[in-house]
Amino acid sequence: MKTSFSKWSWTALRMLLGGILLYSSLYKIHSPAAFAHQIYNFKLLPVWAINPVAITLPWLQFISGGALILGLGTQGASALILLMMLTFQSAVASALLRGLNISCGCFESGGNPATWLSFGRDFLILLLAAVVFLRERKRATL
Amino acid sequence: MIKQAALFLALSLGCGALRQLAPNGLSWMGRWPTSSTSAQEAYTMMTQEGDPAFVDLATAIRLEESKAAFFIDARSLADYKAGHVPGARSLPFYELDTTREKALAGLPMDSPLVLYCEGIDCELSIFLGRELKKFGYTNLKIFYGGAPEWKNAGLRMEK
Repeated sequence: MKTSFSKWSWTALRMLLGGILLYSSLYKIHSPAAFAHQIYNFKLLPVWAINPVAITLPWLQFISGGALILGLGTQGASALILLMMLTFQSAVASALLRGLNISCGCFESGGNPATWLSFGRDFLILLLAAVVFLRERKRATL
Repeated sequence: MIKQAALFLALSLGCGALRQLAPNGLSWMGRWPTSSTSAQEAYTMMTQEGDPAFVDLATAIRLEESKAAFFIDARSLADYKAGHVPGARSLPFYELDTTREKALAGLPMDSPLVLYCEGIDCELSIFLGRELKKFGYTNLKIFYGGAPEWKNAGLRMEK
């Protein structure tokens, strides 16, 4: 019984992470120009790289999130998600440390600025990604 | 694991390429300002149809000297206090809701307003322009070179 319960909770965690990624990819897929603007605001990538990243990254989120939900290729998907979250958190931290006013420019109002509070919230997602990734790796070697 | 990740990446590239063909697809080559972009070029890249018109440095100087327009500083209050265009009012974009009434007190909707921010790295003047337009202000312009261009021209900054 116990093993079956923990198996289900692992599945739930994996699907939760997949759901978050999938959900957050939707508006970026819908409005690639707004997402490109967001990337530009971080002032980290060379200008030639901004649009290709804005075009590809949302789909990477969508596909790896979907893979976690469906339970397909979960090792690769969780590794990609962990990598994306690490990159994203580093970018936000660097922007906050540089004192940039990161406003996405995705809505007329310019959206909400990134703060250490939003950084903390996203850190929880990073932790979730790390836990799921380690679990999937372990499962593969069993 | 690596194979799975590579497959997902390839799929993403494919989906992204297909998405390009749908409405509001993004071109692979973007046009974004760099440090060598002029204020007017950067303004063109970052604005859209219906945004307030561009004002260059020479015009900004003329408007300030003749007091023919009110300058509005979209940066934070701290940046404003560190030095702003003489006579400018502070209206930080992120404090718009709480400071708007006081900052724009006594200005009719058709007052000539020149919005500025921290040069081509800062779009808050554009965002502010869009918001003020919604509030009904009709005579808005953007001095996109902003505080850095003013300062670098050796013009007086008020503290």
